[in-house]
Amino acid sequence: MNPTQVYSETILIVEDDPQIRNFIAYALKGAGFKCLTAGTGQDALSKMTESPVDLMLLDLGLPDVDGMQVISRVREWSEVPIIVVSARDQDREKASALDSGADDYLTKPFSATELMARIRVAFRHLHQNANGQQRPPRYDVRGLTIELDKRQVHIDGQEIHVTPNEYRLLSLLAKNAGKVMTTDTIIREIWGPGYGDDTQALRALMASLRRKIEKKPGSPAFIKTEVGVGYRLMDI
Amino acid sequence: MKPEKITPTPSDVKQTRLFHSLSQTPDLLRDTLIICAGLTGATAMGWGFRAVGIPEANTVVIYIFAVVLISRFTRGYCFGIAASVLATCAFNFFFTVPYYSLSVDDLSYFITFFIMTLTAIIICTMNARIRQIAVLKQEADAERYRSKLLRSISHDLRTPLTGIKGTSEMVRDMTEPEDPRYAMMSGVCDDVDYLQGLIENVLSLTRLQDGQILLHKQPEVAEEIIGSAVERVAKRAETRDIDVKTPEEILFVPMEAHLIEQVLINLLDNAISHTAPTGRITVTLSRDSGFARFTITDDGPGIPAEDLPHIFEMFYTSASRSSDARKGIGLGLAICQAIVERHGGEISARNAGPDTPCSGACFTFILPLEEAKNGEKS
Repeated sequence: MNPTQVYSETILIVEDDPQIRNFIAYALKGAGFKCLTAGTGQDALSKMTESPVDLMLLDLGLPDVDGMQVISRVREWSEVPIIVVSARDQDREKASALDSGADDYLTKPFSATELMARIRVAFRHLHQNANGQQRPPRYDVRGLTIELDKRQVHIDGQEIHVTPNEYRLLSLLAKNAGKVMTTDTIIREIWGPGYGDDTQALRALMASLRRKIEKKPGSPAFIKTEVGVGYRLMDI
Repeated sequence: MKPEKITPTPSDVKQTRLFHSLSQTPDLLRDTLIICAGLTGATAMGWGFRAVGIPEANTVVIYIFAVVLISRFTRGYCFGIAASVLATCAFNFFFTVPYYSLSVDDLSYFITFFIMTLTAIIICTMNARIRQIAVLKQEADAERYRSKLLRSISHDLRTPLTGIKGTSEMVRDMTEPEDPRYAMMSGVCDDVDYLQGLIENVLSLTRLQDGQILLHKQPEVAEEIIGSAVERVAKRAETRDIDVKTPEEILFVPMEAHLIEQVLINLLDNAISHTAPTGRITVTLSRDSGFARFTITDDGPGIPAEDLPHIFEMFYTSASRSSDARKGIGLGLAICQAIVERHGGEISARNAGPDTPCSGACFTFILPLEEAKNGEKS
């Protein structure tokens, strides 16, 4: 967290527990964001229409409406980044929130550092899209480079040969670097919508890709596993 | 996804009896008595009808009624079907000419026998089916209720913890490291992390001990689970070096991912708290015939010999550690054992010998690579 950096964005915090709401609001204000708060889903939806909001932090366990409904209602008219907050054992909820349009998730209990990291990733994506500019056709992090226009992968300057499916997987993650991609989304993107939810093929593909790009596939530095949800390619 | 039925509770056993009634002697006796009583009653009424001159067509109806009652009060299909056949035989024996013999003069009686048996069998099959559906629905309701209860407990525990964790970390970061309040807030943060681990463990344990909750095992790539667990303890590991060694081969292991992740986190946390900040921890994954073998070794002082036989006992805490050291209530390793055994695996602890690269404690657990076929519902 860099306290001197001042953001102009407004973040809407949707959380029914006042203690958590206060802590998040305090952390965000400390980092220079403007904050709006809502304790219910209805309140959140009306706050969204009243004033411009640049990012929404949404707790999935709201007292009045299902968090998933809030996401789909907001997605009807807005592309505002949504970060959902949920418990560790709510894998299915996390995955379906991501599939229905949420951008990222945080697992309770989380620290202010994790919170700020997620918000930064979401804004980075937003700015890249807003500038009308595509993501740079290149991923370059800690020695791993992916030339998305040339379909080339290098590690420390050395070209790596990947199979067409491995490349599809890697480029999908690279285009969404920093974000978690759900297993369902990845399977649909690589094998098409008729493939069902057979995750075994994806896991095997991921394991063989990791053997090519990771020094230690057992503690990966680039592609992290989000157990029960999906995969995330680190963007820093 | 293959849900696995875990150790049956007494109510479980009672429910499965419905489907295996023949193996239960007391029920067998009871149900046989019900058949005898039902058919004797029907026969007695039939005699009564004959004595007052009511046609035997009515006796057929009485027998069918008796079979319906029998199938209502016995368990499973077998008794109802047996009763149907016996009822037809009894009708034949007592009420068709020649009496008291299974032979028949009028061949058109065979139509009666056939329809009588068929009707009775259909009715008792339907009865059994309805009962089976009711039991399944009851099981599903119970499972839903338990999951809901567990979910609301975990929500209620985690929500205040999120507030405390976030707030205390912020207050700590707002004070200068020289300020005595910094140390105090650091203490609060450490306690919250400890409490968080404890809650995860207690929730896993509650889940495991509730025999009605099914494990949702799915084939997972073992190295992914290790990677995730190492990632989650990385902050607590500080300067310790955690080395992960995985084989070239991809090992798919049927497991409930979060539970096995919990085992690895507990073992890694254990290793972290027993090693110096410059310590070295190694996680090794290997194939051992039909099993995946996970080994966690450290270069700490190892496990005292007197603790070794009790280390997986619930609430066992080492006597050799000073009383003010945080030692927990001895849940972590007991939970590891419970989780591993529920997955059909084994866990063991020993001290690494001087010939091995790590000199400290060595925990090993194995998980079967194939789903066990027997005793599981798919």
